[in-house]
Amino acid sequence: MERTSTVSIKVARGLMAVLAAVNVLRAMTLPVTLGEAWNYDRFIAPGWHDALLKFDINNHVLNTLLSRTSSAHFHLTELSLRLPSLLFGMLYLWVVYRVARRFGSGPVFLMVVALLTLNPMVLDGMSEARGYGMGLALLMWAMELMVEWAEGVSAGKLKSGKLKSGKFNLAAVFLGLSVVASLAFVVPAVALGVVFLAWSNGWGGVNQRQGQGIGFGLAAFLTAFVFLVIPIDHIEPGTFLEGATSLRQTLNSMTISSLGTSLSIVAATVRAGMALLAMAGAVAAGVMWRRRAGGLVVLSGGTLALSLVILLAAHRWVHSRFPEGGSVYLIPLCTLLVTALILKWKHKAVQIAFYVVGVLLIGRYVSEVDFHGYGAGREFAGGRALAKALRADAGTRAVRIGVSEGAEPIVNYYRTRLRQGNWERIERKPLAGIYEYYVLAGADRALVEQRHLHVLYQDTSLTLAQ
Amino acid sequence: MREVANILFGGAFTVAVSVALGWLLLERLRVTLCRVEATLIAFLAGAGCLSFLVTLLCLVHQARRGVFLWGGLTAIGTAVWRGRGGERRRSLPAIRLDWLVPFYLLFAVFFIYYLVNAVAPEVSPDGSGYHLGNVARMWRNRGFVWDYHSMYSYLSQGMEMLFLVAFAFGRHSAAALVHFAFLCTLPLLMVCWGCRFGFPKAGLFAATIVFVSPIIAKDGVSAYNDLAVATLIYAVFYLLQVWDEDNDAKLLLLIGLLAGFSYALKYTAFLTLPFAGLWVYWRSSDRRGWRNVVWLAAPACLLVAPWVLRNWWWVGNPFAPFGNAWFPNAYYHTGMERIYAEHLRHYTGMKHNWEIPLQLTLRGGLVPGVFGPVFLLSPLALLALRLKYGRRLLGAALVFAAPAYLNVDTRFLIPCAPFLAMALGVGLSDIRGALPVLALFQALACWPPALSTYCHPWCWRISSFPLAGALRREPEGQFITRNIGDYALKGAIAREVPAGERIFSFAGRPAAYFDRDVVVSYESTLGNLVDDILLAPKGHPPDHEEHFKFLPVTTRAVRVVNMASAAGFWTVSEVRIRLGGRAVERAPGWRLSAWPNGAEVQLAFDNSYATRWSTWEAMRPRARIEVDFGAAQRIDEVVLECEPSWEARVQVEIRLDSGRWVALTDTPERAKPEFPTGIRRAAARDVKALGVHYLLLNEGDFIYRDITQYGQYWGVTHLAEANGTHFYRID
Repeated sequence: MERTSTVSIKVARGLMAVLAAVNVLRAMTLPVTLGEAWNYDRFIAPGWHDALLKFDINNHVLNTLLSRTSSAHFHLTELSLRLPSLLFGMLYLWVVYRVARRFGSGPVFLMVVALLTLNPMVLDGMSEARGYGMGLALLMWAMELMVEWAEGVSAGKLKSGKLKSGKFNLAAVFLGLSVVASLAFVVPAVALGVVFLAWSNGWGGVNQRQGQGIGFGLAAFLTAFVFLVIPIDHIEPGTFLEGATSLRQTLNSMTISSLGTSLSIVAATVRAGMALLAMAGAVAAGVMWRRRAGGLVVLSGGTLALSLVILLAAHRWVHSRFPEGGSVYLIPLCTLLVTALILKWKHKAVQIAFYVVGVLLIGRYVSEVDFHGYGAGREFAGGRALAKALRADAGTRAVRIGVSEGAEPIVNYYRTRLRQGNWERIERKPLAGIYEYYVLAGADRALVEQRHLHVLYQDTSLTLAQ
Repeated sequence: MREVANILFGGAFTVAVSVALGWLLLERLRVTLCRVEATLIAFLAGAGCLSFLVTLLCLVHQARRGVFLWGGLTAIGTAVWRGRGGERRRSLPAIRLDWLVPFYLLFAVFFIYYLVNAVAPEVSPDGSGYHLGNVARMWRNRGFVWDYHSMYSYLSQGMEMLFLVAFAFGRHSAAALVHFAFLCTLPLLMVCWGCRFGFPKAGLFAATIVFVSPIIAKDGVSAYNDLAVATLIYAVFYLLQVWDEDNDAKLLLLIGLLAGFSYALKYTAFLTLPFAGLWVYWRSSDRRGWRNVVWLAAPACLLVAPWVLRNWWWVGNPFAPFGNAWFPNAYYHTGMERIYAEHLRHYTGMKHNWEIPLQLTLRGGLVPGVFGPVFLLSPLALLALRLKYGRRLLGAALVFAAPAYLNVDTRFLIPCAPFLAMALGVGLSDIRGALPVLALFQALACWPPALSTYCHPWCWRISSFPLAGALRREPEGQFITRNIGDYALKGAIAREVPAGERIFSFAGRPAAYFDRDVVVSYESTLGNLVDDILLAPKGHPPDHEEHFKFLPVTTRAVRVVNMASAAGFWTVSEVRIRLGGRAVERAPGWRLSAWPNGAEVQLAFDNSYATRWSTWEAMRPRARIEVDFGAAQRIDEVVLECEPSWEARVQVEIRLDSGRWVALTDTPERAKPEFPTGIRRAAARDVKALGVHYLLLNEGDFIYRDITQYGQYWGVTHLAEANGTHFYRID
């Protein structure tokens, strides 16, 4: 019988506890990112009617709904805004633990836990008030439930056709919810659903004559439908034309976010590795599609390959863009696939290489953990300090603030967050008029010279001037 | 509160009399229905009987409160007496309590919300317009009014007959309550169907999504007839399934009665009878098919006949206001029917056909009303095709959606909604948890305050909970004026317009609240003529002359004939016949005729430049105006005074002694002489001559600015104004 408590398990549990604490700390202390501020300003703060008047790809519906609830129940703070993400982050840690246990309880297990949780993109997702972390948690749970369901099917039940459907149905609901969390997850959700149905049909788990496959697909679809049909009706033209223009760009951006380097050799390696992995995943899924035991390989490999195919096909035929932050699902898929394949391969040298690369990666990930801002929020990381400086200077006076277009959601967020009703609400428009204060970013910072403004606060990307 | 009690009594009494008559009928027929379904069917069948009886009373002008009260009490008393100690009917298969309780809780919450809206003063467009307008007019006259012509008064009025009973006691809101009773019957009937045929979950699901559907709710709490039609159609379908199992021929009588009543409610339900007939014929055993169809058709004809015969006798068109091309008459122009029908058939403002389902389910800005988001899943109803009952439901949905092709208003899809919802329920019933989740989602999304957050502001829906209005704590007049601006003119109209006088309006008005008849421009021949005359000064002054000259000829008849086809109407303001440059004097012996629209040929010979003869239908070859002099007459010119109609190709023909028509010329000399003054006064005089002495104008109406500017030339007096509507008297 396998030991239920080993050093690796204890370390992994400790790591998870630490990560949970880190997530809470980051959620409480890190300044709001542009994406969070935009989502809050457009979809969380307004009344239902105004929030439903428009929809863009940044509206991560599940996060919006839950953040509305949490920020309405608690006073608006960064923590209350991020509370839903934080909870889903915990769910993610839980599912990672369960998935990783499939690799035993030794160092591989520990390494998988670390690789799946310490990646900066994943770590940010576990607390940043966006839908990516939620989507990731739900997708992973769906995969885990699929594997568990398949494992729970005995030969007798298979023969009699009386299979328990609880986990089966729950997996479908989680797949639908992952799409609700972020529309970018529609690709892996579809891919995972298709691969799962094909795989379980291969070993007889899903009886097509009884319409189980259709039922699974419908359950996932209906879950997404219930949450998305009303907001998505007001989708703005060109919504799906936002994002990376090529898969290369997506992978490069993912490399930079995960490894903190833009070295072309690293990026090229990642791209080549991804291509090889996708092909290997497709082959492995093909080879193992009739085996009930090979669930993790089939699901991760098939999903990775099929996701890339769908992304490329959608780009080719409907001119959709590639995901940026939404590409985070590629990280656990790749991690799980590589680990599963290497363990199956049982080649000593390759396994040693895997350990070495894994340790290096973990080291790199740990070094990238940032306690000053999220990866997506570095540009306006000084937003909170700027807002406080403005509050100190303006006092209770009614003031008009001219804000560079990019920084407008940030200033509006802090206007509400710091309860500064005396600041006139900032509209998204060019800085043509005369204002008491200016919050300048990018090329607009030249206005300081042009209008001879007095600078009150300045950092690498933002300037507050009077 | 007395008013509220009257309203509730009016509605409840009508429903009670219907149920009583229905029970008597069911007892007589001895059909084997289960307890709940029998009550629901009794209400529907009894409503048909009551409607028929009130129709007869209207024919003999005995639609009086006393007749309704004592007749109704007699029916109720008889039903109660006959029902004493009768055999108790068996009940339907039970539904699990954990399904039933949430359903009834949801039903109760929406029921209260709807009831308050139904009891509140009636302010729906068609309800306060023609549905209750007809009822109020019949109530004033104790029966049918034969001298008032409007396309809406020609429609079958089975529902108005029921409204009339309720109206007698509780006025407008009581009538709305009767329709509300049908709204409540439909979901219960659907639940019964689900229980009886083995789809209880689907039945509860479908009943929920239908009952909470915004367009169905809004229509159901208004004095309309769509929910009654949908319920009747569903009941016919229901009983056909029962007959299919029981093969009880007496059920066919009941089905026929309901099918006939559905036609009596609304023309668009005309498919119910052929649907039932075909079903019965198809499902009958050998050699009994035709006999069964006759059993079905006999009671149906009884309920259809009054409306067909009334229209045939009254306006010469059994299907008025439609089919005027086949049954030409003097009360409704064929061309206006075409324009009206065309207008109804097309969506306006849609950028793409894909937008239609979104408009019908979620938005409702370009269509009036939405069905709710779950109906967007309608394609999934195809999953029901794998089952026999699923195929039947989808077949029925397809058949009863067909009238929506002729009228794209969302309401016209209501009859197909119950079938679609049921098929969707049957299709998705295997997916665990899907039906309750979707039903709950539909209920939440359609809860009126929630709906207002995402639908278009113009979407026709229940948007408030008017408790003060319903309880009459807010005065009725104030409530109605807040919703229908024209209501503010009620007092002025009652004061200024003598009884029996008519008021003209370009737009529809809340006729149910005015005690005087309103002639609406597009609703009748009279309305068309008044509209045409009032528009003449600014819209189409006959300032052109077409001179058809030829060598002098002697003939007994001459005619001008159009040879072209075009979508527009061919119009002639005045026809003048000349000899040697002088007009030939019109003699009493002249016989004038025209085709089409011969009834109005006089307008081309009345020496008024404000009136004109028109084909009132698309231009087509051989349209003509003809003058038979009665004796030989020498002529050398025919002059047409008209607004130039560039599409028409007109030629002048004379009749030889042999009777043959010979064309003389088709080449007119066109002239535009100096136009005489005074056309506004002439128009006002001609309108007055048609019996219309008052005008209601909106500020957006074409002639409003002209009348404001040149009131003294028109010869009108401004009497009152309210909320952008102006009330004038023609002096």
